[in-house]
Amino acid sequence: MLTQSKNARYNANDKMANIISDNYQLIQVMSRFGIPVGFGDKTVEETCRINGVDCNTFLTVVNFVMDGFAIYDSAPDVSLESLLHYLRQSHIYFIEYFLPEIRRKLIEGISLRSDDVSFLILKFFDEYLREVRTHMEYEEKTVFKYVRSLIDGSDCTDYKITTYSDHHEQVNLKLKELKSLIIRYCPEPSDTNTLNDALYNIYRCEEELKSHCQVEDCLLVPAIMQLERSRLKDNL
Amino acid sequence: MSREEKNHIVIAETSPVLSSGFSQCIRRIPGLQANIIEVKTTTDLQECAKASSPDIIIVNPAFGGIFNPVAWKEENNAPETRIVAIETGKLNPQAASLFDEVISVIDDLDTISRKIKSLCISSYPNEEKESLSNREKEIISHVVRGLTNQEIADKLFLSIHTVITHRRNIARKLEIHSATGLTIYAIVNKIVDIADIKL
Repeated sequence: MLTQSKNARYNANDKMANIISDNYQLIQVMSRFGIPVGFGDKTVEETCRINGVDCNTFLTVVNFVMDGFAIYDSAPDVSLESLLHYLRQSHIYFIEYFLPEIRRKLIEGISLRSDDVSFLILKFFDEYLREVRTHMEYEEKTVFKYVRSLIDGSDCTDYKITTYSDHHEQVNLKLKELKSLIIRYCPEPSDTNTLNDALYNIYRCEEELKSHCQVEDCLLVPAIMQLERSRLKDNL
Repeated sequence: MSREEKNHIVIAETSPVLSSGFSQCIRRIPGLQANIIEVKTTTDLQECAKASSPDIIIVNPAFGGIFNPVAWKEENNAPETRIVAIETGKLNPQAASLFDEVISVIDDLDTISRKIKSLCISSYPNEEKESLSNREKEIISHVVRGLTNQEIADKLFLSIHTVITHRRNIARKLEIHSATGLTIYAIVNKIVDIADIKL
């Protein structure tokens, strides 16, 4: 089981403000857990308590995002409930904020004309956006719903979490292609700074999506498997 | 090719110094995309193997008593998994032969990198970009005009399998897998004129 180990990089007594100012990538993690800035001198534990966030889950994700790998341990410690909430917020962020923001910048930057490839690039982006949305909806409707039924102990379907996996690679491949298409074939932009900004955001989006998917693969899936096993025992 | 680049690597080692050392080394291998998980007990290794079916397991031969890679692959029905022994002292040659590879703690990064890379399933995308043949360009021009594989086959007097093979090669050479991407490529490289394309 994946847990917040005592030897992890950050622990409950660290000052929240220090953690965030050391690593700005964690701003994302923080905001998806619904923790606003303005920590003063509060520790991670205090900040989490005030905001109703499960501290262990928060730290597990923080340490995982920072280290890029997970350490298996035996005592189950992550709250699936919190993890699901985190992942759902993350979906909302990508679908409702980040990707539309990139789209807006692309349109502004590439000087949309019907007689060149600029609108094909936008078409490609929209196809990508649709794919991401479909994938995330699938996760929420199938995977998250299944996890919810496991948590509630209600009737489990035949679905098993091991059936869930390599979708992520495909979505990522499409983003790679988008980057490459813009870099190689984009016609002269109307606004270079805005286009570069869009491109820069696409890179950032790629990294954030990668980290998001890793949390799903390396934290969520093992936590679910653990729960599946304990349910199986209960039923015997 | 379906599992692009990302390799699932599990490190089964009780010593945190060795375990995190291997983690770091693998992360320093240029061009290698890996999901790395460290495990400390045999139970965790088992669980982890079920969750992610690792491509490579790097294991201390003394993990959980004596670790037998051959038996492990059989028990876990994972003949594809490559199992690498961590050599701290001198490993008995007979035991070493059971593993797919042996990495010593005194190996330098180049050696570790070479050994790990040779075990990776995914091919490295560094290979030289090949240019398209005329036939391939011809096929692209039909694809972006919206013709199906069968229609292209009929038009060029080819079998549909040949067309599919050409399309696969085109996707590999250009690293473009979508119809929209191919259209962009074709217009920019003047394989088709934008006016010829129904939008």
